Amino acid sequence: MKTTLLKAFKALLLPIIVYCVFLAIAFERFSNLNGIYTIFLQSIIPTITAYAVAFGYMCGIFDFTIGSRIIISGLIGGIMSSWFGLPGLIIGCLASSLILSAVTGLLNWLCRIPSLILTMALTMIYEIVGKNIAGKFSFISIDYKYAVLGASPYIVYVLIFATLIFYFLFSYTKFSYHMRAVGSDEAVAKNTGIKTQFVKFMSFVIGGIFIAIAAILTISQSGSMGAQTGLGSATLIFKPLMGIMIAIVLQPLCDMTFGILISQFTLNTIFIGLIAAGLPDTFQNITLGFFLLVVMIISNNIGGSKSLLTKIHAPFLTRAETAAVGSQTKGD
Amino acid sequence: MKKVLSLILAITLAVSTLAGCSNNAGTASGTSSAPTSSAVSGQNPKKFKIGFPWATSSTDPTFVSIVTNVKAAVESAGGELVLVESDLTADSLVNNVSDLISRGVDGIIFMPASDSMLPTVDRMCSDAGVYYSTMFRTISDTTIRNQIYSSKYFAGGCNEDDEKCAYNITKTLSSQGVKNLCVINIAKGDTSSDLRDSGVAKAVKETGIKLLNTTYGITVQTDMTKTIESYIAAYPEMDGILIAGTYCPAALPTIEKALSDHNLAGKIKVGRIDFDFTMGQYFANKSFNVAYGGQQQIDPLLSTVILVNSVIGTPIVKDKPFILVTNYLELTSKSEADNFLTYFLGDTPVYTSDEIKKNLIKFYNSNINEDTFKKTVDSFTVADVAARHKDLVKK
Repeated sequence: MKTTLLKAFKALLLPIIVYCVFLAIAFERFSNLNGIYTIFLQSIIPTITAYAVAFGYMCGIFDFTIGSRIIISGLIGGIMSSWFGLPGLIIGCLASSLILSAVTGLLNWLCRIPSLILTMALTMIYEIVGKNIAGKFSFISIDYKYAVLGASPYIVYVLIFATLIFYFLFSYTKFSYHMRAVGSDEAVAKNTGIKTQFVKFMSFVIGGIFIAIAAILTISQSGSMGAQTGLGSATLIFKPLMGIMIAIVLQPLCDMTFGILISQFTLNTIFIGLIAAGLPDTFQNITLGFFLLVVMIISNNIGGSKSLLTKIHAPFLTRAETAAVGSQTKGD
Repeated sequence: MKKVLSLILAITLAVSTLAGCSNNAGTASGTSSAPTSSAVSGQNPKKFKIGFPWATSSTDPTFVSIVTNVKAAVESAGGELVLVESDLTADSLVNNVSDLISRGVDGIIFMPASDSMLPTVDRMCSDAGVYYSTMFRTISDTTIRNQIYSSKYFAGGCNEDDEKCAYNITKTLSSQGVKNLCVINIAKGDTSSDLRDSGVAKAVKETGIKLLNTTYGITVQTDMTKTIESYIAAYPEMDGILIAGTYCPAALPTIEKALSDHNLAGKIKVGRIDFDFTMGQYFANKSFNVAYGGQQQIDPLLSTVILVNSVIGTPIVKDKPFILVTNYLELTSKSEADNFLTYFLGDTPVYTSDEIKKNLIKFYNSNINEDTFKKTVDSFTVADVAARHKDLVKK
C-alpha cells in the first residue's frame, strides 16, 4: 500500500513540477485556485476521449474515426434533446455512438485492411454524414437547460462515473487481457486461442461507450455541435493520443486510468500556463511537441541514462554500489 | 411536309449561325456601340465557361451564398459555371486550376491560399490562354505582385482592407469601454490573419487598450471553449474578446456558452470580423456587440464580374488588371443582423442577374468603368440590398 501511494505521488510530481514552472513564470496569474479548477475541468473531455482511444490503441488499432463519431453522436443527441430533453440527449448519443462503433468494428473485421487506411476512409464518409445531419447551418444547438452535464459539478460526477467504468473494464476483465495480448502480438494471441478479430470488434464497441460520454459532454459544454470536413474531426484525437503516450510512460508508477487523467491535466497546465505567461499560440504548439518528445526520450532511454550517470559517478562509488546499479540497469 | 419542315429548319439554322457571327464580331472588337445597345437588341456575348474551385460540399450558408453570387455573375452574361471541389489549400488549388484548364474553361476565379502559389497559376493560365481572377485576398509580396499585375491573363479581383477593418473594429470596442482585450485569429501565415493582427496592433497602440493574448488557428469547438475558459482563468481583468477570424463552426455560440457558464455573457464585450448567422440573437441579448463583414457576398460577385468582363472581351480597364477594394460593413443591432440573414444568405444574390447586366457588364452598358464600380462598392450596405430586393426575397 505504502509503495503504491509512493508511486502515485511520483506520478503526480509530473503535473506538480509543470505547474510550479509556470507558477514561477507568472505567479500572479497562475496562483489562484480558480485556475487549477479550470485546468481540471478542461482535462475532463480529453480524458474521456483518451479512454475511448485507449481501447483501440492497446489492441494495435489506430482509429481516425473517433472524432467524427463524437461529432455524429453529438449531433444526433442534440436533435433528440429537442424532442425528449436530457434523456433524449443521452440516449441519442449512446445509441448512435454504439451503432457507428459496431459498424466501424464490423468493417475492420470484414475488410482485413490496415486500420489506419480503413478508419481514414471512414472518417471522410462519417464527416459528410455529419455535415448532412447538421443541416443548412452546419451545426446543431441545444437548449442550455439540457446542457447541465457540461458544467460543474455534474461534469465531475460524469468523470468519476466514466473513470470507474474504464478502470473496471481496463483492469479487471478477461477482455482487457485479451486486448493487450492482441496488441502485443496478434499471431501469438491467435495461436493461444484468442479470437483476435472479435477482440478488436469489441474494442471498437466498448470504446463507443466513452465516445458517447465525450459527445454528451462536448455538446453540453459548447451548447452546440458543429460538423467538420476535410479530416478536421481528427483534430479531436491528437491531444488525447498524446495523453495516452504519456500515460504509457507513467505505467510503472500508476494505473493507465489514473495516468491518462494525470497526463491530460499536465497538458492542460501547459496550455493555460502559456496563455497566462502571455505567450502566443504558436509557442504553445512548440512547447507541447517539445514536452512530448522529452517525456518519450527520457522514458525510452532510462537504462541508458542510468548507465551514463553510473559512469559519471563511478570514481565516487564503491565496488558493491557499482555492481548494484549495474544489475538494476540490466533489470530495467 | 418533310421538305417544308427541312426548309424551315435549314433557314432557322442559317439565321442562328449569322446571329452567332455578329455576336463574335462584337465580342472580339470589345466595343459595344451605344449604352445598353447590345441588351436592347437582345445580343449576348459568345458562350463561355468560368471555373471555380471551392469547398462545394460545405453546407455553411456563407459558403453556399458565395457560390450563389459567383453563379449569378457568370450567368448574367450567358456563361456557364464549372464548379470543382477544393479544400482551398495552395496545393489543392493549383491542381484544381490544372483540372479546370484541361476541361476547357475560359476563365478561373479562386481565392488564393498564399502569394507563393500565384506565379504557378499565372504560368499555367498564360500557357493555356485562360484569364483568371482572385477574390478576398491581396498580394503582399512585392515581387510576386509586380509579376502577377504585369500578366496579360490576370484580370484583377477584389480584396478588403483587412488591416483597416481590424483597426476599426478594435477602435469600436475601445469606444464601447474595452480596456483589456483577448483576440482569436486565423492561423498565422494567412494573408488576412497577418493584416488583421497588424490592424489590431495599430488600434491597440492608438487607444491604449491592453492586448492580453492572441490565439490562432482554432478549428474545433472544444479548443474554442478551452481557450475562452483559459482566458477567463488567466485574465480576470479581460473585458473584451475580438474574433478577428476563425474557421471553427458555431464559434460565436460556443464563446457565448463559455461566457454564460461563468456568468460573464453581456459583461465582456464581444466583437467579430466576418458576419455570423447566429449573431442576431446575441445582439438582442446584448452579449454580442459589434460585427464587421458583408464582404463575403459582394467580393466574389464583383471579382467574377471583373473576370467575366475580361473573358467576353470588354475589360473594365485596358492593359492592366482591375483591382477593387470592397468595404467591410458594420453591424451593431439585431434588425441589421436579421436583414443580413434574409438578404445576404438566402437564394437571391446581392445583385440579381438583371442588376449585374445593367450595371456591371460592359458588354451591355459601355458607360461602365472604374468609377461606376467604385460607386457600386460605396453604396453597398445591408440597407441597400434590403431596399432593392424587398419584393424579391420572402422573409
